[in-house]
Amino acid sequence: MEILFQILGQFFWLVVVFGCWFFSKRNDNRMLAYLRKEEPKYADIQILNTKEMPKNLDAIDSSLCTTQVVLAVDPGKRFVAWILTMVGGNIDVYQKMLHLARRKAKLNIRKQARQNGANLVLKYSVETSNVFAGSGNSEDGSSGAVEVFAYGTAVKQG
Amino acid sequence: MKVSNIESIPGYEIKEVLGLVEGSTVRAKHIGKDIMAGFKSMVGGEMKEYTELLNESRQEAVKRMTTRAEALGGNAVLNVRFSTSSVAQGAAELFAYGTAAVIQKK
Repeated sequence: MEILFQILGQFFWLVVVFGCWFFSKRNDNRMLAYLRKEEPKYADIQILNTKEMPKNLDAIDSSLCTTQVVLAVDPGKRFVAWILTMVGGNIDVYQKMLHLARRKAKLNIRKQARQNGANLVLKYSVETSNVFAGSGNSEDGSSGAVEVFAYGTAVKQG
Repeated sequence: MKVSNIESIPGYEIKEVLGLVEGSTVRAKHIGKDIMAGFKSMVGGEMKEYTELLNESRQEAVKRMTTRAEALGGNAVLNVRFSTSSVAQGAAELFAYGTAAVIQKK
């Protein structure tokens, strides 16, 4: 019996990792559902990454919009990524996570533009960084969180 | 005060360019929030605490920048760029810079 407990103790971390994986999956699905619900409401706001106004349009006012989304890298994702790095190829878990973060950032910018009465965003730029490096629960000093920062100039048309 | 990340402010024309202005903040995490964020990072998802913190700090950096532009006599900052770096563990520097200018409505 004691030996059984010892073996279970050895694999306790695996249980934790799968627990984290389960919850993170649920959180991601929730976020995806939120994005799917909200995105069509703001679909009419155009986002461009050029700095010139489209020729036929006339601007009357503008404002800077900034937004940031910080997503956590949980142990579940890190474990799956660790396995995937051994076989190479696409690291799907991180890809999906960053994709979600960028979608959320784009939605936030659209929301801000709507608040300012604009329906066009010029020079939309995105930056991805590791702020607060070494935070979270990583031992190797890598970041426990990834930040996506997006900004652009919302233009109100006459 | 008008701020934009392009070389002009749509709807306005530039009268005078005054020079470079910058603003920065270095922020560290709150220990209580950090512990909460630690739990959050176990289950993934968005970390609202950090998002808010970074938002506040960026607004602060932009405010410092615009204050300097005002001191120069400008009423707009053009071509604003942001940069983020982690200077120490658990602390982040947020930096904003741009060109101060005088603008007038077209």
